[in-house]
Amino acid sequence: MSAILIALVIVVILAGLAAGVPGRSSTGGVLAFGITLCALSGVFVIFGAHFVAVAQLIATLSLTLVLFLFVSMLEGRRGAQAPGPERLHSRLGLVLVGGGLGLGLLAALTGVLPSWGGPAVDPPAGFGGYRELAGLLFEEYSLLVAALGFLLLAALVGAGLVSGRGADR
Amino acid sequence: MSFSQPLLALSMGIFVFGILCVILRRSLLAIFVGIELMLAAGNLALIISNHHWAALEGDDAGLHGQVFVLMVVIVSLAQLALGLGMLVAFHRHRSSLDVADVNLLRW
Repeated sequence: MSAILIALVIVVILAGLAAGVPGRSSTGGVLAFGITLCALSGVFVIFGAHFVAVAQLIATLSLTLVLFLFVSMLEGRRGAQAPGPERLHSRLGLVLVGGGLGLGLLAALTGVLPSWGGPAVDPPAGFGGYRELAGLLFEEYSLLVAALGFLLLAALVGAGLVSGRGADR
Repeated sequence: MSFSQPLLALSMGIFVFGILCVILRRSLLAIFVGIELMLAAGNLALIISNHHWAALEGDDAGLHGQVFVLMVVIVSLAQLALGLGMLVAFHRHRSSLDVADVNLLRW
């Protein structure tokens, strides 16, 4: 069951990358980026990191919304112009890289590469739970949590100051 | 069957896609997306490695990898907030999002 889920998630991630990176418009790229990161949250759930998956999902959805608004407001229709020949070549290269990567992963998942593998042992019970994670965050890494809080506050204040410069001209 | 190594290969592939996005795209927003993709690839590798380590070591392994993923998510949000603020200021001055126009510090 988890093999099917992981294969499905990998297909979604690769489809998002193939659609987003060489895409014609930034709007499509941002939406594909959101789909890719949501699929990555699915991988986190499969690997027992439930709290991190929820945090990543919330961050991804807000980030995708903000980027989508920025693309809509700042780029407008200029992002949908027809690509030149050199950009077509770069897109072809990206599609080839993505296709090769997808085929390699498919081969690995179906057992074509027998040397790949690892421990099939499950982690201990309660792995990834919020109690254990919160204990670790506020006991061993409390200074780092406080520093990151200040960093986030400074970034928000700085973003407000920088984006407001020159607005009165 | 363990999927650690194929998924580590996937994280490497996502990182490569992020690098390609930063190198090939000309829009500043697309470059931001590429940077976020690289950070997400690092997060995926951390989660897989932490799970692998916990399966090997049991309770002693802890959740240090997940803690660092949370840190990376917070730092990426901070850099995105500051980057988007700079992008708005740049667009106000130059009316463009092309990286070729970013020459404010050239002398």
